[in-house]
Amino acid sequence: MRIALPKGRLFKESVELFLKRGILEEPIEEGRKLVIKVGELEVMLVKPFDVPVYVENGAADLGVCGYDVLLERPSEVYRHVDLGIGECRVCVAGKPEGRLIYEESPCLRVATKYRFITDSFFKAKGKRVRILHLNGSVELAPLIGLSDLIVDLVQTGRTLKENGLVVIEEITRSSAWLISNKASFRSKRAEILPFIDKLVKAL
Amino acid sequence: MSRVFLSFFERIYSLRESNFIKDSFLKAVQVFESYGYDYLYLPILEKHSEQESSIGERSKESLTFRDTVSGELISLRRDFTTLAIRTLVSSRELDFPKRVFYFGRIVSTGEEGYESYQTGIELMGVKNVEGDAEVISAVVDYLQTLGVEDLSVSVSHVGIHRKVLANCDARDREALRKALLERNITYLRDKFSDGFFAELPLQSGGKEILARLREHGFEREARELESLGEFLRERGVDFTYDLGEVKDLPYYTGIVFEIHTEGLSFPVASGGRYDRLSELFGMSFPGAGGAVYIDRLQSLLGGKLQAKDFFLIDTSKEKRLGYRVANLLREYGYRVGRDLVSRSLEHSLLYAFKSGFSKALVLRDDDRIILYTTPKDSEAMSLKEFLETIKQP
Repeated sequence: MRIALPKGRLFKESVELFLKRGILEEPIEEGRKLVIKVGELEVMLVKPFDVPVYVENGAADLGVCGYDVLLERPSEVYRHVDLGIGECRVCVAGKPEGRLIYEESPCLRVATKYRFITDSFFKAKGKRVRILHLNGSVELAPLIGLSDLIVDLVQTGRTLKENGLVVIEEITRSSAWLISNKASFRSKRAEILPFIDKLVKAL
Repeated sequence: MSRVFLSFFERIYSLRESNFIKDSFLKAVQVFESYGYDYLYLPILEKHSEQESSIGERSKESLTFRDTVSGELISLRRDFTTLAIRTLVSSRELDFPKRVFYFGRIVSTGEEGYESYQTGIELMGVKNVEGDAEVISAVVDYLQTLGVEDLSVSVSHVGIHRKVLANCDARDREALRKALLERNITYLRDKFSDGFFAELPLQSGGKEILARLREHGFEREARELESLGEFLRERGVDFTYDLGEVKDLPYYTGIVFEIHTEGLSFPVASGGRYDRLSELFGMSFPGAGGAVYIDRLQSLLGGKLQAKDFFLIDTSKEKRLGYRVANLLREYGYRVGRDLVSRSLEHSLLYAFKSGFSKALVLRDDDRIILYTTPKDSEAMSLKEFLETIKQP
């Protein structure tokens, strides 16, 4: 059975959780190897945004994926269990004076890597936005006048604070979920169900 | 040279893909006719209002336009089942049981490239579970005939989820429906204290699962699934009761099924019972059916060009010999193509074998022929000798 784990902070938290639940017997490290074999389990290390792609297309049977990623990239996968790790919020943020712009401006410039979430959120509010798609350092955009606001993940709020930005509105809370491929869920039922069981029983 | 740009709605089929569709159709004829089904040709246009009533939310993905003459909203075909019933009702061909199969395109804006191919069967006028078992068995037979391996057949009953949804607070219904579709255990554990409902998406297996279904008040569903299981086991169909299987097409009323295969995240076939769909057309007869998604299989199985026998390259002065020999070989029952383009022999031979011909025949004025079995392997013989040896294909 193959599982896709997101590189970075969530990888470490996933491994810790799997060790606690008896899914893994020994810790594994994030290194240069992209596929790590642990007994019958093959662990694939991929970029967080790519996890649902690997799972949806059957390259991985299971995956650990942030809810923010699933919202941004709707995928034909099963979303079984909230793992209670990687907790954060997707928020609208900006400079303190951005609150007024947020309330009154007829058209907002919003920098984000979450195009889909941003578009859906502001459409539901009936607000017109011009989305500036950035791949990183989103916090910089309002500081240099590239955008009025940003939509980004907020974990502790430290990065925002250090850059003089504040949360203006929370869009959704996010945490990591166990997802599965729809065909694997059927064909590898005998392996996947005990896997889910170990996670569910302990939660 | 002009370039072709594909629009987002276009689905272009290559020659190989087109031949896969042709083979799928021929095999559908072979398998479904062996079950006594008749081919039914169905219209591509339907009333949008009828489509909306039969497939609900999914009609939002249909391609709809207003007819400038009548002012009526017309949709391109999005689902075959309703059209099959409509066609049989309007042509008054309702001597039951009515068994039909269809093959063709559906159009959906929800698909990548709006067109896709399906084949399927409908068994109308049959209420008993043997009918459901027949539909599932025929679809499984068809998939196996196409060469699809490792089939996972899941069967369930829409009554289970309908009752669970009917018994919940109306405000929670949409969220619960979504959770059931996503097999979201976290949501269900939050909603239900009873472990059976909290873990409904994981309830799957053999006969033992039906006892749990009975314990929770689903007697009719358990009885029908049990009976279906007996028929399928006798037919040798390997299946799993999967109570977490949710079908969101509103017209289903009973047993439903979905078939997956390794390597594809989408089902390759699905279907179920629809005992009230005929009421749309003022009738009341039961039915069950199943559809196979040919495009999805194409990506798994690939396709190949039809094998052909002889490619004739005429090097004679008058260029009539090739024409005559080709006709003669066709009379013998061979698949024969002619090289009607002036080019070097080497290019003609490369073309022949690339295009699926198993042999190339070079004709000359001196009544000698050269028979190529690859672009490099050949033998020479007289035309008379050649025709004698290949008389029987």
